[in-house]
Amino acid sequence: MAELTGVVADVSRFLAYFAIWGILAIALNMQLGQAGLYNAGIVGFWGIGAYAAAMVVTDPVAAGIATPGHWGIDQSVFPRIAGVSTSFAFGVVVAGIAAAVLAFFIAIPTLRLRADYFAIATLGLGEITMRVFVKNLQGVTGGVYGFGGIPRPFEFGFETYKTELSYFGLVAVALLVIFLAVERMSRSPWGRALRTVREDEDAAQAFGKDTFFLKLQSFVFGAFLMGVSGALFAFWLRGVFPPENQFTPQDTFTVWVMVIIGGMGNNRGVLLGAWVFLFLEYVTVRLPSWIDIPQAFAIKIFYFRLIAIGVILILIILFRPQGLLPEKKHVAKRPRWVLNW
Amino acid sequence: MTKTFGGVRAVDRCTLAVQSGTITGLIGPNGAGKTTLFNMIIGLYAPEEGSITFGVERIDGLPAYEIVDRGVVKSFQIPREFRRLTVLENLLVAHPRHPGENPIAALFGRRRVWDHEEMIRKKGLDMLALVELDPLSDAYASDLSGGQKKLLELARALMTEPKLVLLDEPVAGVNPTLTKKLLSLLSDLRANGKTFFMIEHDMDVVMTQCDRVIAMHQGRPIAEGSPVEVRRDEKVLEAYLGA
Amino acid sequence: MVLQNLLNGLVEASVIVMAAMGLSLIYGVKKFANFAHGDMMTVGAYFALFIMGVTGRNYVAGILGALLFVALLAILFEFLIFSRLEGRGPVAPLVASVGLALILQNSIRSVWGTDIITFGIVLPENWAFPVRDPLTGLFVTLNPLQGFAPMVTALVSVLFLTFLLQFTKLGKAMRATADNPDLARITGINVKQVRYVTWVLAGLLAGAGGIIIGVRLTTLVPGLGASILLIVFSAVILGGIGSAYGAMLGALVMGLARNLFFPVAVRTGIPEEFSLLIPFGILVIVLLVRPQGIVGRPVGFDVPPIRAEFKKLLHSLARAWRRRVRG
Repeated sequence: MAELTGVVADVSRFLAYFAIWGILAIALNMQLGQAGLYNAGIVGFWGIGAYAAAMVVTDPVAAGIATPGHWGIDQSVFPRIAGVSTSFAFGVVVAGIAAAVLAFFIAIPTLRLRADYFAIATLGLGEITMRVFVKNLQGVTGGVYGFGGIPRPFEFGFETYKTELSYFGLVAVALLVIFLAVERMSRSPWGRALRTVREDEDAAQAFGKDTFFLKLQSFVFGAFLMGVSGALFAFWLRGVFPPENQFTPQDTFTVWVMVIIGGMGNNRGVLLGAWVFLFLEYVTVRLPSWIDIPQAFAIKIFYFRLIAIGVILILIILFRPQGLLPEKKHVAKRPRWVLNW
Repeated sequence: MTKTFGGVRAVDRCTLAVQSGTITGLIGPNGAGKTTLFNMIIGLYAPEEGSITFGVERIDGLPAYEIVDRGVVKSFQIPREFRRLTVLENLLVAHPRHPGENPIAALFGRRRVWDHEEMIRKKGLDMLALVELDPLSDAYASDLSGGQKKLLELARALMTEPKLVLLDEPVAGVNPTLTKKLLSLLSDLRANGKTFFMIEHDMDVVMTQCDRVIAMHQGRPIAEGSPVEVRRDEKVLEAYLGA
Repeated sequence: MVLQNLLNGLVEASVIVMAAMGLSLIYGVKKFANFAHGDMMTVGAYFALFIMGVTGRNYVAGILGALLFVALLAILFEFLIFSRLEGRGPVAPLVASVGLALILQNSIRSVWGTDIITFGIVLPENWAFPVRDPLTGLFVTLNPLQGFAPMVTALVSVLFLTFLLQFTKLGKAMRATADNPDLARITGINVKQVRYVTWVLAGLLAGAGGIIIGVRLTTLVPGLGASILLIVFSAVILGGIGSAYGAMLGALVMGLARNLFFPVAVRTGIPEEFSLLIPFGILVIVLLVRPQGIVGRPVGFDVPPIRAEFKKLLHSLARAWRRRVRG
């Protein structure tokens, strides 16, 4: 029985992790797959979301000799619904907004740049955000130490499997809602206009599209979703820690891999890409405890997986650039429910 | 107006005027600056000197999408269709002032948006029928043949509900029957008040279709008048023979 | 004058320039930003270590072996991957190079693990110059291996590359190919060959750069090259991407700027960590104001001034607002 709950906890944790990255992949798909924006600063938005949410849901901690200290919000200001604090909902929303605001400011100078310059610029700006500001504002963010002790919305004490399972439920709902919303947006005239920007920006302008504004919209909205994912990640990890340990450019490129291998422009595809990547990770990490492998080899499997991912990425770029699940024809359908206002 | 590329004056202090309600032809040997001129009018390039006026308004320096908003559109000589969109979508996207082209509307979907969408769908299919592309409405635009892409270019330009249409060799590569049909379409539209400014190399088309013709050479106009007049003009003949 | 910082800046610039020249060459001829360049440097460093381990501390064999290896790898990359991506724009090879970086970095990890490894050299004593630094009052010092050697290597490489580009037929061919490959082909240049040679040069420079970094840090980690990549990109873009001379200039400025920041920090009390901001900050400013860099190579797109971007944004917002009001 104990083993079963352990497995449930472990699997729930993994599935929640998948959903969090899935949201990231969908967000990048909106920027990259729909509008053609090669955003290499994903960790900046993800990280800001994580930190913002973490600061909303924890009480302030004064800096001491042993503690890093960080801003927080006195948790008693948040109303409770059915015994659960609403600070988490606020945290997620604040996270999204923080990331969106950051995106707005980053967008203005960078959106006019060509794709590869845009990638370098966003890479630099993402690094600046995380490395320089987050890491150094000790009083605000916990500086180089980050901070832990972030609570979960539903806590069940020693029954970890309940905590993990309930959190997975929450995140799964978030993923579903986001997936449906983004799919709906893709099938709309807006989604169509975005794709023209991706296809041929000059031609799009020549036929009346304000491409700068469209790119801005896609970038900011995608960033909002990345912030949300960051918040969910902070709750999942129960902590936020600065780059060197977390929020590295590697994470950005991981999302790129998920989107490009899975299928640019196809939301199901990018989820598949996320699943393949993370499932492989899950398996290779646990493999040594399942089967008997010589110790030396066991450690190396971890790197072989990444090498394989690199090879697959190159193969996809060479031979199947549209990805595993290519973009399907988006039929602009009148959705079943529309608001009349 | 003047426009220089890397030291070469593509358009050199060019001054000309197009009257509304006409089909005006623009001819000249290759390299005369005709396409550059069109790109300047539509706002893809900004003129270094001079101004462009449409009606009573100056439009030089405005971004292309603003100019399209004011009723000027250009079709590309080498078709630049949106490849991974369907043929119909290529048209739908060209229709101006769609209330649904913003993320809020995309998420919440006001009824107005979808009513508009249905209206332009119908319009788009009618337009496709005119250029005989309607059976391909659901195909990816990249799958069309060269001639079909040119038709798509034309249809797309007309979808923007323009007052002035700049056509860059609109019927090159299109079969003769369809060409005749298109040219009569242009005449009908002209009768309805649209203005066409057309770059063409096919002299038959120029002779039969155009009310007026402007000839350009080395970045500036060298002759203007009725098609017959311009054709006989010495400077024009020299330009073509010499080029 | 803060002499020690100046000297340190020159040393750092030497390290950056080794990577920057290779990156610029690739961008100029192959027209893409090679995100695997840092890892190519790392491979050079580790392979040198490997050879030295096998041959019993033979430094010459280590260096030559590493250079040869990275150059061969570069040829392999072009042959297998990048030659097939010609004509697909700047992004496809960029993404492929990201995949390549993954492969290289994790190959190193799988062989050597993630732990820090010492390069295993004994450092000679610092040279002291008979000049005192006005700020610290100490003698200005320079380590022959960690400071002087990189400067010499960088200088030799810079001179060699300049000579190659300006005065040899190959150099002219490379410049022509970077400017306009079709035109170059028509004039009889074997563009394919030029591309391979460019890769070889980039590989040699990367390998040498990696070894230098290893020597300077005396320890190796798999993330060695990748961690420096952004600074190198900043230098290259500052100088003017695609121009080898731009890379040299950019690296010089970048190395000096960061090191001359320290005395400024001491004077004004800005925390030292903000020195990290300098390379990134310069990158951002350059991209805002003048993406074509100091040298000003064409970047393939029109660059409107930043004021225009604000105007555009306000314009778009106003337009959208007017639309809403109109109903």
